[in-house]
Amino acid sequence: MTDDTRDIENALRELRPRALSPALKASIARGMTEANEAKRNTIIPFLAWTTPFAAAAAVAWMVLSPSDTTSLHVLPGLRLVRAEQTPTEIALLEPVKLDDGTFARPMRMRWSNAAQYRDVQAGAELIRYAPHDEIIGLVPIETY
Amino acid sequence: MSETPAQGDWQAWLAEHGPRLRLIARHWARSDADADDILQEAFIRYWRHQRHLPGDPNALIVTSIRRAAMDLGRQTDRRGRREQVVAHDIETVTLFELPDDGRHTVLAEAVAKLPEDQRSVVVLHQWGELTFAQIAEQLDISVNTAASRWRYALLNLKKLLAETLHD
Repeated sequence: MTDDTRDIENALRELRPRALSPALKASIARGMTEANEAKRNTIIPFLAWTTPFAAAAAVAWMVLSPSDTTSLHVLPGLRLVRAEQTPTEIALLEPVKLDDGTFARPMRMRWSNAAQYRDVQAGAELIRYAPHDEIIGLVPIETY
Repeated sequence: MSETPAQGDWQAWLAEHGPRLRLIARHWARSDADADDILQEAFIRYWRHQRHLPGDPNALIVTSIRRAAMDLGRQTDRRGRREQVVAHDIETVTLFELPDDGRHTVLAEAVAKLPEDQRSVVVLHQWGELTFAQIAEQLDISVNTAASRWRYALLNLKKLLAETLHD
């Protein structure tokens, strides 16, 4: 800023906002306590509502996804002898800012498939491990 | 206040930043009581839900305060309980810790006499600690407009101070 107004800027810096009143501090403290209690009371209903939804989404995702073993079935001599799938892990990740300025938590689904194939005649084995790490949706965050 | 506050003692954080945030809330509120409500609402929401969001935490809580003020204003309008106290009637001198010299009191009164658009920039820049780019976003104006309002505000304050001290 110019020298003309530098003294005004300095004077403004010396203006200190008044401290919060004891009544306001007490009111905020009460509000924080109530917010904590409200969170404790809502976390279980929230999970109860979201868990079946997440499980259904995971099942639908896996059923509708292309099979990892399809391409190997056509190979002559190889027979599937073992297939395993780990339990699906669903996690809400750290918030991200979207293009429209809102915030959301990505929902990640992670599991892995393992398939073991054997060629009896050749005495060979093939184990195919297929980890999956997918972002299956965004959960909007209220940013007020 | 450029880093996300850590989990823990919110009281210490509020003691440090609360006074200037209350000043911002008062700028957008119709009364002192409304300003208290706005700050409480915005702070609790920020601390519980927005503290970990990406971006400048200072800009986040100022946004939270502005939106809480807008919401409260709408609620008040819906109830038909329009108060006569409006922003430019704020007794700014009651918002500051004023030493016993007349100059600071005169300056605080001069801030209250600034045109609304200039006072907004002064409050957000000086006590909101926002950049002109962040102010532009808050007020939906250009960065150049925010910077020029700041410059005009300083010149106006200088003029108001000179007039008052001359009288």
